[in-house]
Amino acid sequence: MTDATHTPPNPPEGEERPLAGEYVLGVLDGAERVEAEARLSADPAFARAVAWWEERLTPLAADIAAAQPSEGLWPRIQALVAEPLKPSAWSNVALWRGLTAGAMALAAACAVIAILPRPALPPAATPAPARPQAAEVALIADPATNKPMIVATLDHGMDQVMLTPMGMKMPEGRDAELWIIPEGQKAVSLGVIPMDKPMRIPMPKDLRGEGTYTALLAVTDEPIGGSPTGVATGSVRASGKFAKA
Amino acid sequence: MDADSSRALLSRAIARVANRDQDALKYVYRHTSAKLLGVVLRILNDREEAEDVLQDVYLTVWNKADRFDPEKASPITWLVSLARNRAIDRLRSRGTRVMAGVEEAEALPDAAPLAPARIEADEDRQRLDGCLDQLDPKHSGAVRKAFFEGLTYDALAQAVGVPLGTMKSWIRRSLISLRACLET
Repeated sequence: MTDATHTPPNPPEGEERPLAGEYVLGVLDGAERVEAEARLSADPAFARAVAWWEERLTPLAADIAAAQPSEGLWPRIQALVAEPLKPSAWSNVALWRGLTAGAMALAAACAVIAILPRPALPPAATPAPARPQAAEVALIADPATNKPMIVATLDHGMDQVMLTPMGMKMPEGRDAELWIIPEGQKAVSLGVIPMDKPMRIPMPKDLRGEGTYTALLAVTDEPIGGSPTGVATGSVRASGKFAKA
Repeated sequence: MDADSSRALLSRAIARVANRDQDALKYVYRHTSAKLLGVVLRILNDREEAEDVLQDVYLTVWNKADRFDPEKASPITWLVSLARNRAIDRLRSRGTRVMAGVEEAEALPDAAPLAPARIEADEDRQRLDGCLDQLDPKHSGAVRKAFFEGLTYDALAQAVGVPLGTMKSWIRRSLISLRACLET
């Protein structure tokens, strides 16, 4: 081996440069890596050299201590690989009933609602309702983990739903679309909703009143801008029902 | 279970993942996620970021399992390479962000690798060690550090405290020597 003190200032370049090994070792900077990756798909000899180095250097990984992932990671991955429901399934009432079973269990958790911020009523430009009705709350939860993803607060005074996301994430390039499914009926879209800030949405006119008590709320992942067809095309990311406060 | 049958089971599971078998993906996850998280965490030193990368790795396994060829690569090599590449890409995209929490990774106990995720037959490892031992200890130390931490030449030179040109020379000469040694 060459004595380190006599190392030439200019390292070997060009033909001599073990680029595939450098790529696998991970010493290339961002731009060089991008170049190497481009070459990987265009140059089979380079790809073979990379595979050769991967096979030979990976045994080093045996020295790295394992680290247990959080318990929530697998459910997250599982939800992301779940088969998207076919559009026809969305008009299937039995399917929604099945999802509702999970939502019922969540209703019990609604005791926490007292601490949730109540949407403020606007200044009384019109006389406030004489007896403002109590808001109702739905915890829209991940069906795999039962963790609440969005809190929906129903404001009867204004016929609005206030949505507060709680760390929900969508796959890259997908939007979250909220649906309301009145008992025994088809899902009605309430539109694409943000995952990073609260939002108020008006309740559809024909859904106000008693019907909302028993309706199911569900969030699916959809193409950017929402389902192009008006029926959900993605997977159910979260669902839940209102419970009376 | 010995390394050969564990490798065969993992290969078969990946082949089933290519057929959209979620249980097979769960098998792969259960047997490799702790190892892969260790690999990714060592590079990123940030648990949340490391778990994001790990999620991405298993989604890639799900979507690209058909690209795995058991004739050409061992399953753990395929998975570790995938995880390292994603973690290094993430590290590069951070730019010059100051690294925090190096202590976290270094404080991890050097536990024996989990048996099911054991990295390949011992003979491959012994061969690599034999070839690394022929290098100047400073050079082989730099090779190991580069592999574990995914550092660029520049960062590696700074971390070791030598000029950039010297580090490039150490690593390139080491790789050329290793190639000759491992080819025989």
